[in-house]
Amino acid sequence: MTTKLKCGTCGGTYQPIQADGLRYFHACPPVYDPVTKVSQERPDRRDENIIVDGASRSVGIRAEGKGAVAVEVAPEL
Amino acid sequence: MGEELFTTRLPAVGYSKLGVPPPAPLYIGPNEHLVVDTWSSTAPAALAIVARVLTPGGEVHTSRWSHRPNTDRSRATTYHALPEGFLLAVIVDATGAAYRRGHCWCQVGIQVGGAATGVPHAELISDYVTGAARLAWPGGQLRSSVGGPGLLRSITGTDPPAGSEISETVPTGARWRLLGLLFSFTTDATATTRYVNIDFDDGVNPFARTASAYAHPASTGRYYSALPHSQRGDLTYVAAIPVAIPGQELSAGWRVRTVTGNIAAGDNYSAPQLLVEEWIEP
Repeated sequence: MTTKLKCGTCGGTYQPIQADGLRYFHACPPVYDPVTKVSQERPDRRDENIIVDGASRSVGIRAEGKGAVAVEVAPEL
Repeated sequence: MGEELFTTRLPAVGYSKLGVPPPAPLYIGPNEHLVVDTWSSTAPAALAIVARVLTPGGEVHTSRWSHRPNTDRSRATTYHALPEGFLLAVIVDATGAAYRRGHCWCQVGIQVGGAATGVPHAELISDYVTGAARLAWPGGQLRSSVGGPGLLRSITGTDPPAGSEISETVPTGARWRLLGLLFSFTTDATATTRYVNIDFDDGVNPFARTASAYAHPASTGRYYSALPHSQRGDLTYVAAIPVAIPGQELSAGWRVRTVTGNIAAGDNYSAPQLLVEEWIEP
């Protein structure tokens, strides 16, 4: 089982399944420019939160970005 | 001495002994279905749906179905045909599942037709399913999914790479109240002072910003602890820099994130640990 993923867009690492067994939906952070003091979204940002239709049924994730790869996998018992 | 009373006249209210309707307010007609909707965040566990109907022939018909919620807080729906007659009882049973209040929101109703195009006309159950108690009609209450206490969760967020900010998004179908946020921040050797702020936004527009009072120097690692109604301070010698955060609720898609004055390329935040109270919000 994958225990940790690395985002191909922002490089952040995260646990897709939390310690309480619930799913975690990664979304890339915006980039803050300390000179202009403005935060801007990454153009290829990844956002795993689901999109729902009018009946609140899942129709996919918000933004694939550059995907994510497993960086830590639990050994099979 | 007491006085004995006697009723010597006939009662004013009479009761029919024939054709008496059963003690059930809901008549199920032909082509009517039980509709079960769930929105769940937790590992799938099948719910048992049980309905009892008194048929026109006088038999009590008991049906049992299985319903499996999704795990991403999206809606899962099943339709179950009912026999014609008086609906006596409906229960939703998750006994044995590790559901707690806030995990799985459940609505049960009646509609004409057994598909999404059917016409709903009665709501029987609207409440959180738990492993400790069955939901029941009649006898239960129709509740709001965002009323009452939510589910307490400790969440490990994304560990950003050096030079990046922390940003956590309320998942689709959820509502949060942020009760605590703990993270570390280690600065590189760039000789400027950093200032850590925590922003709240609606996914686009910030609506609240709270700042620590600590002037974070170069080459220094510090924990920051954000709590509602905390004292803002620059207590350099405590275990964590206190940051006060507002205690309002956050809708799906809203974010809590750091905004760091003078952040340098080698500055590094840890994965944040969040304590949230969570509700399902379809």
